[in-house]
Amino acid sequence: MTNGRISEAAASDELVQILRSEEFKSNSVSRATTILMDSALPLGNIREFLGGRSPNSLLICMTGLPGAGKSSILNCLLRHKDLLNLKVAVLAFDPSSKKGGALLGDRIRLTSERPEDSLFFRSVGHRGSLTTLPSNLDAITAALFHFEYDIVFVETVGLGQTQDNLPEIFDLIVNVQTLTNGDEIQFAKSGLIETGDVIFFNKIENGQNLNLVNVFKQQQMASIPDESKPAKVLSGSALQNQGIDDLVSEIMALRNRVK
Amino acid sequence: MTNSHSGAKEIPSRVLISKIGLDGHDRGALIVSRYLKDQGYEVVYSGLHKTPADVASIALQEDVQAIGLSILSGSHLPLIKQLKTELANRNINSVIIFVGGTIPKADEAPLRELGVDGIFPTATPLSKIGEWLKDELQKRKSLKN
Repeated sequence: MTNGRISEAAASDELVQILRSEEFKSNSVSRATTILMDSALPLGNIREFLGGRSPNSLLICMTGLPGAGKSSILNCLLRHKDLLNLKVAVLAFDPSSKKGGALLGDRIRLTSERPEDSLFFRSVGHRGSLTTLPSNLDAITAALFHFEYDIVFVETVGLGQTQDNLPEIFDLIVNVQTLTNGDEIQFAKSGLIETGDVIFFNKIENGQNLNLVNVFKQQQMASIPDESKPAKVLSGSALQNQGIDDLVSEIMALRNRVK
Repeated sequence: MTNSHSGAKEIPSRVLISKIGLDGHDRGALIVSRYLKDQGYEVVYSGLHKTPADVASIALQEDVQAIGLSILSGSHLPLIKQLKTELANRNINSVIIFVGGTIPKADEAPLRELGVDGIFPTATPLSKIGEWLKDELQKRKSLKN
């Protein structure tokens, strides 16, 4: 069952009306997000209607393997005391089937009791796009910043070993990995494991397997450094809420940086 | 559902499937979620133990066209009544509501009075839910146009 198609002109008209409206309606954010997702309107079409983005707002990507714990780590972040007074929006992607449908289940990890106006959470079907994230993700996130969200999290679908083609629009990319899918050689390989500003090894309950994380860090340090900054390696457990403080420190440092 | 020849994409309808109240039995809700996914819907599954306010809030943020509730606790009447209030508080007036689970025959009329559009007691064939939802969405669309 489909909801029909949305013409670019109709989408544009409705969106401009929402973005221009002085009166903030509870469904403005939600409706604007739907229109941008469904119409794929590019940023250029709406830029003139957008308010400026706050200088210490952040656009953060949560990515990693399927089942590594992206949603669970994100839930820990949403509950963290240092982020509680910030307005947060989440776009949580899940795969679509070839028939067009999708089971969007990222909400089941969500136990945050934030008030409605401090968290906007949208589950998104990947809809068979050729890219990992929609071509107009910059427009969608710009619209969320227009509605004065302090942090916008984009959670990708679970990625594969060579899928490291994320758009270069993020302030921070967190790559969630686990240690259960291979030995140290897996972590010396290329591709997704090289992606991200922070690599967070999840499911390290009570510090078990921590030696593998240390091997990864040593490998990373031993490789010849080029111009790029090596990813920060963190570890912990979403289940036990361990290691989350370290990740929050990274986020807050970025938020408080002088622009 | 798939790409049309013009290159424009059909947008899937969005449905929220939720467990409302103190009832942890989600087998039915998951089966219906999976079935609707296979029918081409984008199904947002909320997880267990949602309050009426949670369900209304999720429906608003996820911008769904329909809400399907699985209730086996026997509390369907007060829960749906509260849900209708929470939806109205958020100006959500046109969303389709359907309910499945242990719903006694005698409660069907009061549920419809509360604004429930479809009632599917346990053992309802999945295809019946699918056909009904398709028709209902079609009806709303033609009303809008």
